[in-house]
Amino acid sequence: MDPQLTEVSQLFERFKAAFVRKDFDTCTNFLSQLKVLLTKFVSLPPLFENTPNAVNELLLAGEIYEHAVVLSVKIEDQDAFERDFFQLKPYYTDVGSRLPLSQQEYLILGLNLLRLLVQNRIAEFHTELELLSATALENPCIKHAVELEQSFMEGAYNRVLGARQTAPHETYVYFTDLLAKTVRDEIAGCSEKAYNYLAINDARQMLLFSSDQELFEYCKEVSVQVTSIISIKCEFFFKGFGKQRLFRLVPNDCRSILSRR
Amino acid sequence: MKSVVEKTELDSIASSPLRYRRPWELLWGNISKGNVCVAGDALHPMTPDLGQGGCSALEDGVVLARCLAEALSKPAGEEINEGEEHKRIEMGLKIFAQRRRWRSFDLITTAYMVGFLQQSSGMIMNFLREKFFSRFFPGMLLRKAGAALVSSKSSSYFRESKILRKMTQDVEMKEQPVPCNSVTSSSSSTLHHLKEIASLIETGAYDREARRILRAIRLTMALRRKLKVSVLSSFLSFALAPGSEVLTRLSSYLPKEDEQEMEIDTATSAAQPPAKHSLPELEIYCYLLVLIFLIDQKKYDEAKACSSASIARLKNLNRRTLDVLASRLYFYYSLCYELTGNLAEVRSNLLALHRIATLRHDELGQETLLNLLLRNYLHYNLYDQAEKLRSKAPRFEAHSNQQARNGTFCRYLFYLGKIRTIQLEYTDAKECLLQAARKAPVAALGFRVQCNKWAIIVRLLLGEIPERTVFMQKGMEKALRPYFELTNAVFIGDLELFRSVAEKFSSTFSSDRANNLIVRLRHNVIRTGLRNISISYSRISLADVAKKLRLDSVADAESIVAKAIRDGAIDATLDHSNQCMLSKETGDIYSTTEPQTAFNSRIAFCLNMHNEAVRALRFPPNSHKEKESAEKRRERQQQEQELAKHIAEEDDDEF
Repeated sequence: MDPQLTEVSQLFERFKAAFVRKDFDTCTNFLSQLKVLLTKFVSLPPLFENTPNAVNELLLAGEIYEHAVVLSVKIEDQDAFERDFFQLKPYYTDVGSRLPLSQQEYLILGLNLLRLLVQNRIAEFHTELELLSATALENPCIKHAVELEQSFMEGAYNRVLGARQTAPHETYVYFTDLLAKTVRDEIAGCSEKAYNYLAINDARQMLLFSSDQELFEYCKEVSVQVTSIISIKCEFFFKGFGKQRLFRLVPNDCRSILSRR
Repeated sequence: MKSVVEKTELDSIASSPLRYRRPWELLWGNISKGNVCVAGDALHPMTPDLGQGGCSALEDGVVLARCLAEALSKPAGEEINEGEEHKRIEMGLKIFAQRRRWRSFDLITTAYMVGFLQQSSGMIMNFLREKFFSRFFPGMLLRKAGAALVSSKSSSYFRESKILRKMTQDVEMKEQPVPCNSVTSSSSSTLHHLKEIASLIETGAYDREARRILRAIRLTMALRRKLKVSVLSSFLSFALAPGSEVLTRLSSYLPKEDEQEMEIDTATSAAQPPAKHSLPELEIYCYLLVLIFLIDQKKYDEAKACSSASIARLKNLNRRTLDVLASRLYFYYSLCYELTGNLAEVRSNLLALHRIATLRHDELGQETLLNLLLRNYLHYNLYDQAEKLRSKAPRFEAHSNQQARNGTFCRYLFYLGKIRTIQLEYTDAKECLLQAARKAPVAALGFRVQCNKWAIIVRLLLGEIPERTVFMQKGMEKALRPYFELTNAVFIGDLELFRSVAEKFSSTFSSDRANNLIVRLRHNVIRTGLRNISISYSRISLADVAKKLRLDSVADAESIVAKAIRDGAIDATLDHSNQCMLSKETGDIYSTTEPQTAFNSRIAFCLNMHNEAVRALRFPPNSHKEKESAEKRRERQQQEQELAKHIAEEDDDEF
């Protein structure tokens, strides 16, 4: 077993070096090679045999998969994330008693929760949440994800958008960006129902765009028509929301003149 | 019963006048003519007061069959031709008429007189009826009804089974040990009961009647408290072949007791006839008995060893009569592992057993094992795997209303409800949990408390407020107190109160594993608060809203209100420039669809109940079930009382 183990660890070192260099293609290559080599170890799941080197092998394999997960975030491949995470999970649950606790465990668990939230798989989010112990819930990474979900459910979207700043780790940025997009759609949907009229400045602020131009592009995307004060009414559809409602985006200087519907 | 009558529609009741044939017309009328005769109600229509209309029709059938058989029986070697056959039939029918004539006369007259006496409303009649007739009427009438039974000799089966019972009783009489002191006498009566149960199991096994074995188990549960080591060891030596491996193994689990008692028992066991070769059923029953005893004595390690041995033995046996005993064994097997905190160890075993049960078409075993597996997974919060197992495992809806299955069905509903709650499917969860709470027998208090707790949370999550009566149910007030305060906080819509209640009872909530669900409730609290505000104010600034709801910032408040408006929880609009919320006038609620949805849910409930009642009509709900729960002691005591009552009033189902 030993020569195999050293071979794997050497390849792993090269992988880590490439990772630091941000050379993601070589990383993926190395990763596939590593995975093939890992199949030769029988102490890993699903076999879980008790070989003399078991602990080392398990540790090494765990680390490899953790890096794989982080890599998948960097290359923005959600399917790869899911696959690698599922392979990593037994290391936490079943073998957890034998191995020392990994530092990255909570980070990765938090990432997974966030991913489920972004993909709107709330039921699975909650199922995963049930599996976490009380100590896990105290961890900042996981707490962050849980609070995000709460704010999302309650409707405090501004908190969600602000969470970008409070991300505990730089890997979280990818998911929070994705979440921001979902949130924007939600805000737009809520505003459609809630407001009779909305100044362009305010709309821009709420949707967190930096310029009017972006706002108009977004509106075009969701088929909102901006009228000037001259036309009598404007109708719009939200694609995917399917409801029709009269809503006006008013240029700033004219809002005081218009009356409410 | 009353409500059944009350709710019956008038046009579904049919009324028809009573008819009867005058008795004297029977005496000189024709009953048979040629090869045709009348029987049953055509022969003797009577008023329904005696309840013998149908019964006498049955009697007629039997007598007719006998007469015809006698008439047509061929003496050996003789041939009967057509004409003679006709004559014989005629003769047979005449004999039939002769036999039934006076009996029908008797019945019609009695029925009429009874009806007259019972339904007359004069003062004298009432007095006479209450004082005199009520005393000896029932006995007389029963004798009249049963008279035909004996006389028509249709009770050969009845007598045979009576003889059988007498025989077993005689055998047991001989084995009755001479009581030396009061202790031995009480334990000998337990022993006596156990031996009765053993014979019951034997007869059940030979006749392949699972009912008998079920009854045996029920009787055992009644005896549970009285089991002692001496009783057990003497029973074991009675039931199992002496020197068998099983006997030695089981005896090794029992702790050794007083020398003196052992001697008495060896004396008595010597007086017994040698035991018959032990049936597998008896063997498994002994395992079960020892296991129950060990668990009651809290000797969990021995219980674990015993149960593992029994499971190993069960895997080799494949008899359907064993199913009932086997399912009990599985249950206790899982229980003793759970009590020692090693549930995960049995998981693979339970899965293997489930596979075997499916192969053997052992439905009861499958259901029991499925429940045990679900319990196993839920114990470790593995909701995902539990759901995967449950969706793939076969379910048997048809039998879920039978007596033996009610317990397993309730448990299954509870576990299903839990899974659905975690997966955010609140409507399904509510239905399952409420059904489980309703179907559970009154004795299973702990189980019902758990169901109710989860049902309350689910209803809160759905946005409804459970009524106060839910919390005031008998025996549950104290357990449901934290949930009552929680509901209060949600009802008022006060986030601060909610937070304090959640902290105050956090230990209760975490032991119920409902902590995460309580966190989800925060959202509901805000909604309710918002709804109250929107109803009370026609116009309110967002800053005030934030303050009232104890939210952190105005921007939060704005987006929360916007989402609430989008979800249809409140009817209002926001004014961003003025930072205020304007409520719309709530019009006539009957013009919305709310009444319709309320009616819809009620109609669905009533229809569901109707369907279930129709399905359950043949099998009346039982009062006996065994459940395990957090409050085992209390529940078991209640159950004991119930069982005693049940057995006291149980009919003899041997016949």
